[in-house]
Amino acid sequence: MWLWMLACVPDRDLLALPARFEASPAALTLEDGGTATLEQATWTIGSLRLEAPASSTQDTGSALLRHLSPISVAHAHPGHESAGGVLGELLGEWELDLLSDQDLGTLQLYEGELATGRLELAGTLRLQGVAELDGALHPFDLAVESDAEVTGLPLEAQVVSTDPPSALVLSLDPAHALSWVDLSADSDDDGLLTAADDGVENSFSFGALSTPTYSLTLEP
Amino acid sequence: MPSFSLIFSLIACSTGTWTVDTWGEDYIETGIPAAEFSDGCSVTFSSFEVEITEGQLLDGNGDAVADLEPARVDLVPVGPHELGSVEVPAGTYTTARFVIAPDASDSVHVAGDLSCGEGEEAETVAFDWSFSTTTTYLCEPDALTVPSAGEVTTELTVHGDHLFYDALEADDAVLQGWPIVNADADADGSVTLDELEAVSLAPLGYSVGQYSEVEDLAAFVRHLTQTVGHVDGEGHCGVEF
Repeated sequence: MWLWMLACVPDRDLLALPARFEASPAALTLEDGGTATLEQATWTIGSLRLEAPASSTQDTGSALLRHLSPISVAHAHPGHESAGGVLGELLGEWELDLLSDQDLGTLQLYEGELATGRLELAGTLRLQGVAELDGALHPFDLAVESDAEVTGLPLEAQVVSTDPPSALVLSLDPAHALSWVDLSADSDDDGLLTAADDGVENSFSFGALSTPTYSLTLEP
Repeated sequence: MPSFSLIFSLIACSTGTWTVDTWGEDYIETGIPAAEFSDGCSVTFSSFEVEITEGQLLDGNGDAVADLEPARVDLVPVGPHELGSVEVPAGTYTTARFVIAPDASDSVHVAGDLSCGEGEEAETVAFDWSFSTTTTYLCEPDALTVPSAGEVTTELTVHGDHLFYDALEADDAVLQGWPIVNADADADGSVTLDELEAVSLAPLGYSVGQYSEVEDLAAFVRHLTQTVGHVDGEGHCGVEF
């Protein structure tokens, strides 16, 4: 279906770029000054879309495309701001080992100005490891499930077919995902911090769905 | 027999009237019932003022063909409230632009009571919040054709329930009241913006989407004030912050 949409983008070359996930570091420096070591980290993700700046869709042609596109960017709710039109897509679902590099296939991308990306989540994020806070060790095994979309991933670039990027790289910052979790708050005193401890599931989910947890890069 | 160019000029010069109303619907005028909240709370507003500093009708080039006078409107009294009427060239338009921004005072002021729970667990808190957010709404009404010598009305509809959503972007956002009631740290029956600011969003299960800078409940509600504008009821508007 995306081919139909992309075929409507006038006078632009279509590029095919390799996409890959770049492994997250196992050794983390936490925002509160502690450290953590990840022993296991997995995340199931879905399709990724790359978008033009919103302002560039105000012209009549692009606005028409937006309305006709079968995968046009939905109005957010309750914030009704829209991103720009979709210029690139990487469709599929991947169960990532966050501690390893992984090929994600081929990104179909039209040349043009990029501003943001949006990533579908398609399963469980699990981070398991040990935190060291003030000299004390705090094991954790956190899991959160989501089928939400992470929106507004910054990716400002001007893509031209005469000097195309060599690859798209997706990465994830586990330390940021853990930013709102008190890794010492083992409320049930079972020696392991999990999503069942008080407030942990919401706090972990907040970080896991936070846009700065993710980053996109186009390699030259 | 008049020339073709003369006929064209006459057609091009014909005008009609663009009238603009604003309305807060039943939710603002009479309240948001418990059935609308996921946690059984309810809200009544005693004040819901918006400062509309600009109202424009844009032509196909994005140029304004009509400008309304600025107006401050309290949406609690029964509406719709007329913002003005302007003579414009007859024709079909796609975009009405509104700016809600501070002028002499705040841009959005809401006051009222939020009630949650039943029986012995029932609690009511008052709120009286002022915001200085600036928001431009670019609205695309379904049908905005100004007939020659006729009139068409556009309504800037304000959705008061948005202030109680639990997500900034998710389309499955629901209304919640208890987190705001529980923010009354000094238990004086009134929740201030300072008290909301002391409440971290992360443990609440709220989501902020791409607005990761929004980390407390005051910033969250402040952001939501920038989503209340709609057109002709449920029509969505693009927003610029």
